[in-house]
Amino acid sequence: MSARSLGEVEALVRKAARGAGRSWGMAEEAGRAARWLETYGLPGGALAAALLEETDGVDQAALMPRPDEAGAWRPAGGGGMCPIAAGAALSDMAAIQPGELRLGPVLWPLMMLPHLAQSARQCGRPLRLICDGLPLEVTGAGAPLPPPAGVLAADRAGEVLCRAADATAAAPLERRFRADAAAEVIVRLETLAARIYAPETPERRLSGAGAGLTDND
Amino acid sequence: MTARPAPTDAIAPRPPATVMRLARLGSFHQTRLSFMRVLLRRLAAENWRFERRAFAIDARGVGEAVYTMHGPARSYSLIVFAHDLPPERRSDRMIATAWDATFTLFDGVPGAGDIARLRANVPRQEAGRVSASELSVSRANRSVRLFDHVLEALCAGRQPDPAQVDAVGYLMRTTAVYGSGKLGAADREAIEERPEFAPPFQPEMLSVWLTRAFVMDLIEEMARQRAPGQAVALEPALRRRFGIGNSTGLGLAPFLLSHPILFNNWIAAREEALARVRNLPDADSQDRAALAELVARARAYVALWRSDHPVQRQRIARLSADLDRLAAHLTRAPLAGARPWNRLWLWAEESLSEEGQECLLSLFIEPHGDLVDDLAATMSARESEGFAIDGAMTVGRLRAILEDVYGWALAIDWTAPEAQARAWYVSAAKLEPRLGERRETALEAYEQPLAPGRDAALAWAALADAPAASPVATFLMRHPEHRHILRRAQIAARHPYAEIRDNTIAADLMPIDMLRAKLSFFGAGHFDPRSDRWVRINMFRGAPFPHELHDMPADDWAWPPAEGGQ
Repeated sequence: MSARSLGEVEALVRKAARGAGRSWGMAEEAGRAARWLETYGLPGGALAAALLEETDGVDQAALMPRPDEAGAWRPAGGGGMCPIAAGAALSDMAAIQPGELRLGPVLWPLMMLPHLAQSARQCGRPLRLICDGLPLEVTGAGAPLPPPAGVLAADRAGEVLCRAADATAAAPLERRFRADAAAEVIVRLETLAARIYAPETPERRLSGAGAGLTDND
Repeated sequence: MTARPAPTDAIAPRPPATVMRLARLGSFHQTRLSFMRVLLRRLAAENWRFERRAFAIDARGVGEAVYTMHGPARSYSLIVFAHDLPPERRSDRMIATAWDATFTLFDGVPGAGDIARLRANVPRQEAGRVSASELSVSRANRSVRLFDHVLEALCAGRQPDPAQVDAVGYLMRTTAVYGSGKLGAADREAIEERPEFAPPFQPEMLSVWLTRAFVMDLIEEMARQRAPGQAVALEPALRRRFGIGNSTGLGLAPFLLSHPILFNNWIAAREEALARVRNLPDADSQDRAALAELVARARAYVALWRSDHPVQRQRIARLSADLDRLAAHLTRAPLAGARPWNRLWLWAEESLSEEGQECLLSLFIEPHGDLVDDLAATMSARESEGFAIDGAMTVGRLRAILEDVYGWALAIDWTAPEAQARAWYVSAAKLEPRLGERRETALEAYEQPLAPGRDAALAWAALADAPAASPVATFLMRHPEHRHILRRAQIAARHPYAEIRDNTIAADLMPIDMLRAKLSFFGAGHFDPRSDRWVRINMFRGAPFPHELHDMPADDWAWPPAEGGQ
């Protein structure tokens, strides 16, 4: 394991998400989400790498949630929903979403947890996602309870139910200031991120600051 | 902020439409709210103690050193690795791979194991890794011209020529100072609750201030070893005329755009400070004398300001003329009557260039520490607190925000070639931010989100078909491509100075305006643009060194003594 700063993981995931075809605004959500997970000792970097590789090249529009006649959110493209897009939409709706919401299928459901926490902070009450029967829960202050092993590694959840939770006596995970992304995960994210860098040309080289000038003065 | 009873006709801070223009931001000067001044005031007030824990430098200037500041609760150490760099490898650019000296600011007092670990990483800069025990990583290169002159003089047993010292102003310039989680260093959120790091960029400023001290010790030590028995040390007053240089490229410009709440808080503090002084009911003879002296000191500052850049030369000349005009005006119409500061300010708005007006702002707040220094505590920000989008906002309200904050951008014809002439991108070669010509180099696919005006105009057009009463959340579910700019717009609605109100990809953009705005908040002076996208500056010129911090006024150095005075 290589100890990264939280800022490094956030920036790398943001770039990787952009490299995998997300809009800048959605890429920012992905970076924040990965950072938040790492803050609580959860594998934000590894999940982001898996999600972005799986959805690499898929049109972002197809990964967005789309409400059906019954008000449930389904993937616009028919495959799986991006958990970042679904989470961001949940957070956007935090103040106006009435009662329960059904959604799914969702890829890598643990990646919805950061946005669930953001929603909980906005409404000031504990929230719960039930992913194929397994609960993901955050306190009203937006701290996560330890997720069950079944969701931690799940690559998809067929049916997710989002609703208010009762206040719990269970202790939330503790915050820390370091990320633990494996070197192998960093390399995979860097591969996606590298796509957003413009390849060098002589002309471009000259557009950097101070190009072609002497500094021996 | 202190609650001062405000009269009902209180003068408000200047509106963002006035302040947030690039030409004005590019005219900012350091103020007493600048971060290096905030740092030195704290170190002096809290009686921080300096210790040179290690210093082993040879006659070529190669070796290592540890400079530690001990505060009331914690200590911080600058660890230095000094090298002997052949001239052909000396480059201020991000793409350099070797430097005259490399540094890290260590959280505490390092042990031998820490230093061994850092010796293997810090000299490699971007190619190395540091840990949560490090707060910054930086490097510096010699200003060869002045370095050689000073070394030669000291070896010969005489003081260097003050004119040559003033012409350059420093022996080394830093070419990058990484903080806040970069290269594996501690994240800001891990240290932001320490009182000494509550204001922005305090670890970076501490690192740079200790670097200046090291560089002066370095050259004196080299002279001592080269000419034992004959070499002299620098005379203390002349020694303080050396600052530490910095060479800054495009990397700083994206920072202002990617930290809108932080930038808002910097500007809001500065504007509030100006408004407080403008609202003062009267002025006495002491105020008049203080302002007159400050104008004289500002003239001495301008007299020391060198630049070969044609635009900056013109601006320095105008500023010089502005200060002459200001001095003459103060003789004719001294601060008197009701709200005398405001009366002078209104005169300045009519009579002075933007350089002159912004310089006057610095001079206005300079003698009013008791009135404005509390604002330093408002200049930090947690950018994450503006991150969540309010999806319940109606499309109608969002449109009104776009029209208010980005009205200037909605008036631009974005299909005109000059409107989108440039694109910000990151190079694959060295991951440095660059600004390229969009059409000539096919950069579209690599463009960074650093054109809020253009993006706001696109979002505004896309919103035309959405029902005014519908929530933004519904729009965003169908339009994830506008998520970035709608977040910015909501931030700007809550933070009036968050957004620069000019086109950041225009054909005539001068990126140095953005660099100068940021560097002025650090406390830098003597801005010397080397092109439209690269600037050299001087930091801590005139400031006390760590060993003399408690023997002289800690915060009376930013304006040099008036000519003829000392």
